[in-house]
Amino acid sequence: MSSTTPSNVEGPSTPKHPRVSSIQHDANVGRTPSFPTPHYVSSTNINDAKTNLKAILATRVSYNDPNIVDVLVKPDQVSDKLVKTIKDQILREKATKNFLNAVRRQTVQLESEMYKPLVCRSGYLCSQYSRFE
Amino acid sequence: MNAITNFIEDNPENDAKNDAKNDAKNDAKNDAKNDETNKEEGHEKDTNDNHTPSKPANDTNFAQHIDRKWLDVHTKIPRTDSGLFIPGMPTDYYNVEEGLVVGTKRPHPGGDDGDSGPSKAPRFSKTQQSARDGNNKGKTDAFEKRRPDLVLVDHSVQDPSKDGCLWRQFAVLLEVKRDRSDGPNPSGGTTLTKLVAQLADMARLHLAARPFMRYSVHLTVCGAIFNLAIFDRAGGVVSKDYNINKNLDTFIRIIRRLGRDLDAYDLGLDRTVVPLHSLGSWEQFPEFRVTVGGSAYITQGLPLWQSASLVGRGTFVWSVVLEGDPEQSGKGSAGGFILKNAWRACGRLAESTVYRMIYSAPKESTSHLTNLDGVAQFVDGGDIFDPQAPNEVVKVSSHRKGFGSPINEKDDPVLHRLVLASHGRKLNKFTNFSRLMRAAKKMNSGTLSIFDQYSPLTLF
Repeated sequence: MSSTTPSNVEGPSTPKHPRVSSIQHDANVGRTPSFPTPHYVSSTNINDAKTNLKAILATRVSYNDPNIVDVLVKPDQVSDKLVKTIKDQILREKATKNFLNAVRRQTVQLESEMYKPLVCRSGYLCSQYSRFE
Repeated sequence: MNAITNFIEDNPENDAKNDAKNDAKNDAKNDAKNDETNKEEGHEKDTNDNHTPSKPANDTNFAQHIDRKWLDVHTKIPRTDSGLFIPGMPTDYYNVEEGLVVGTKRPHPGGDDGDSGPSKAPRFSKTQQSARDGNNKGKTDAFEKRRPDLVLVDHSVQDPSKDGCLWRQFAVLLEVKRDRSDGPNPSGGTTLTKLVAQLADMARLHLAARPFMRYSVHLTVCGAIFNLAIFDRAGGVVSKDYNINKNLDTFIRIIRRLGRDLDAYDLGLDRTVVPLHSLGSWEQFPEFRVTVGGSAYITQGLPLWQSASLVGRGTFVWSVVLEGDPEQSGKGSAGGFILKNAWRACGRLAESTVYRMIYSAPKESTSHLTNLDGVAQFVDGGDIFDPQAPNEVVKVSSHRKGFGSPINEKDDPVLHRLVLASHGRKLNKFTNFSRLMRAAKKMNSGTLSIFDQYSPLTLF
């Protein structure tokens, strides 16, 4: 079936609609739908959640913030003396010192090759790992 | 990493605590909290000091009980409470982790050589294998790694220690990557990094599993670089890069503050609610005292529904009872109340206002509507005011003061609550078919009334 218009037939008077290549959903532009949607389905569908999250977050994350740590955590409220004590004790341990050196040199080992006490498994009490036994 | 975080919290604590008390005024407050915490942690530390286990303090605000520990969970998918359905979260460890070998690289059907990326748990189940993208490059979608590497969890002394942890017990999530190039800050521009997408996905699960959170706190350690990040209902904020070697002091201070000093409110819990049980409890899903208008309500059990999306309303729906008066509370009766907690778009009409308009309208103005039987019975509701700034409603910008890029005034979600007297019923609770059909008819009549009036074209 040919799609060409015969020469004796007048063409359509109204312009063709532009082809819609993609439909911008509310979620894609970061707004709440203005009409009822099965939002339970969309928010529980993992694929939808992924797509929406990536699209929405692209413009909603601010990076390299210089103040968030000071405002939220207030690290200065920990006394210098306590920090020094902790630091001394951490650096006194050879395994930790080596680990930090490896971090500095970007030669951190795979977990399977690490010194055992640096590799903690879930389900154990923290105190079991606090002495680098 | 876990050993270091635990070390910061545990070992020098007792040695230097008394000295620290004398150092600064701020420390006095923190140490007071820590003294209480130490008492509660007696059973964990009894091998190192002579603290004996003691009962939690008499006050009922468990948000201010700081009793936490770091756990390495990167080989396990943390689960959620039985009966609480959140997509992407298992409720049973052992169905998901069956056959899991801890501590080894996950094999790939196509054959990984084991050199790519940090080690994560192996995936043996069909569901987990299908998460792979099918190529031989050993890559996985960031969204499938729904487990943090380390977590700072709330810990309940009263509950027996159990293997693993629940998502709702997370106070802070920590993600470790081997290379600094995997860090959350993009090298140029504002392109969404893979790690931020991964963190955001975990944040949405965290906010769905841990009720009444304003934001989710994350730490990342990528090579020598570490960052702090938060995610809330308007997006996220990532700190500048810190170097763990050059800024080891800062790292120690942050770990110390997160684990010992900051209470649940400081770590994102809504300051207008009071948890009545330990946030680290295993047996008891915490009940919360929630104020709406002039009344306080107590949540009952698991939420009836919760949103699993990050940006948006973050709706939670609860069954609640009125605090205090047992006759009016609805406790024990089939009714009770429904509490809806959500972040509304600030430019939109509040839902409570809509209900007030419906129920305060004179009869003649609503006579053209079929009936209001299908519309829930409104009890109370409105925007929530910030206890720290009583003249301001709680917005996302409330907890972002002093950091992050400015939030557009028109896009600043407001915390909103509703209490409704109409109580739904589960389908399996209907005793006969005619009742079920009557309920369906009522639901339908309410919907038809609204659409007939305002959006006829939507229906036809």
